[in-house]
Amino acid sequence: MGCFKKAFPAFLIIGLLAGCVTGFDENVASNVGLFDDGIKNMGAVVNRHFDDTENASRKALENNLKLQFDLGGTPNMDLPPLFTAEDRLARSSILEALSIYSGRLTNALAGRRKEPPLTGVSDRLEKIEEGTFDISHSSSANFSDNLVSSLSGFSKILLAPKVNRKLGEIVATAHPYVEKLASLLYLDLGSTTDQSELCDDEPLISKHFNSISEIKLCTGGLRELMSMSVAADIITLQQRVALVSAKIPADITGRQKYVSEILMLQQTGQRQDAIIHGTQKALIQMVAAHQELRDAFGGNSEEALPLTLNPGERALDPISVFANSASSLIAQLNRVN
Amino acid sequence: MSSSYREAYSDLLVAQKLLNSQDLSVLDPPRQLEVVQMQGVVFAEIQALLVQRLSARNEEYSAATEGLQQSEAEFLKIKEWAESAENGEKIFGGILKGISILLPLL
Repeated sequence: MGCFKKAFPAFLIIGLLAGCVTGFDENVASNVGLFDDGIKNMGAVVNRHFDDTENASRKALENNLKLQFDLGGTPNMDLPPLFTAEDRLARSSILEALSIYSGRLTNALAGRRKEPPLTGVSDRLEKIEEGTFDISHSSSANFSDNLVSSLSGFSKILLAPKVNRKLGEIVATAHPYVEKLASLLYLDLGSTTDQSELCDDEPLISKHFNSISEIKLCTGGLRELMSMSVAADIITLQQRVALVSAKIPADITGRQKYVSEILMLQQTGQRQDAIIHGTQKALIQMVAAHQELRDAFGGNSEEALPLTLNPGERALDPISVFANSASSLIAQLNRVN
Repeated sequence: MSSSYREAYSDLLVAQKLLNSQDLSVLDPPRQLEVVQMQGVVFAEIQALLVQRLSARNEEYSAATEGLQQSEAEFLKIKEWAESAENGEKIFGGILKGISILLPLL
């Protein structure tokens, strides 16, 4: 019994240490999980923008071909894809790498998260379009899944700070790449107006700016491609309106149908542009959220300050802002089509 | 012949504007078809030109992807630590069990 009394303070210290480790872990793990949710949603959103732009361009060309047929032409129907396989692969690869990275961060802290503030990411992805964004790699990359959290007692207390420190290093090393990825996607999404004096020169690449917030866009990217496609489609419809109106007697039913389609297209085009613009804002928020994670780890878990999880303050922190924006973009995209 | 991207883009926009301003209903059928064909060609050219600028960033994407993938090795270290600790825990668990049997006897 005497031995137990001597050992009691040691157990108490271990208990307190475990409490400190767990407190830090819960906050950081929740934030990492929230960030991961946001990344998965952003991957789906960006891929969807590329698909929608490709489809809008194809639809505009298809409607032009249909009008050519109606006017007695025999046009070539071989429509090449707007984006090359290399274009799509370069972007899907980096989004997948980011998803794996954020998934592994989450897995390394698995079981230490308080509660997921955003749930049902997979459900939302299913809704948007099956196969739009392949998360199978990140979800199957569970090599560190629950390993640390499944440990108990001394092992967990001794290993958790070491793991947190290593995760801090990983996050700090990854940060420039996360920012570069966000900047490149920001440029891809583009603008319908020139914001930079560099627009007459070579294509904008990362050497032209130091951070995502400094980027001044040139006319181009998905926003301009989409806007051009919608405009071309509207012109085709307007030409159909002109042709049916000139008929004797005028084809009133046909004209009404085309006018309705024009109005619908205008509205859809405006909504899609607003969502793509929202995605650009979310990319800036993504960088801020990752920076917050980097600061939370601080490269050293013992010095890291846990992020506040108070619901009121939670809504304003960069990680929640990013995760909420990404989730909202998914909802908006589901509504627009 | 346009000498730069900007010139080519501007020229195509001018051509598109001219074609789009044409009222098809006042043209004869062969001319109508010609205008619509040209609209399709100019539209496809504009789209291809815009995509060229996007494709110019493909290499930068590849470099950033490789950078992100560097974290793989570091995550692997965490896995190894955790596995090693798990093994240690099994041994430690056995010792603890022994102590718990011994403590009441002391």
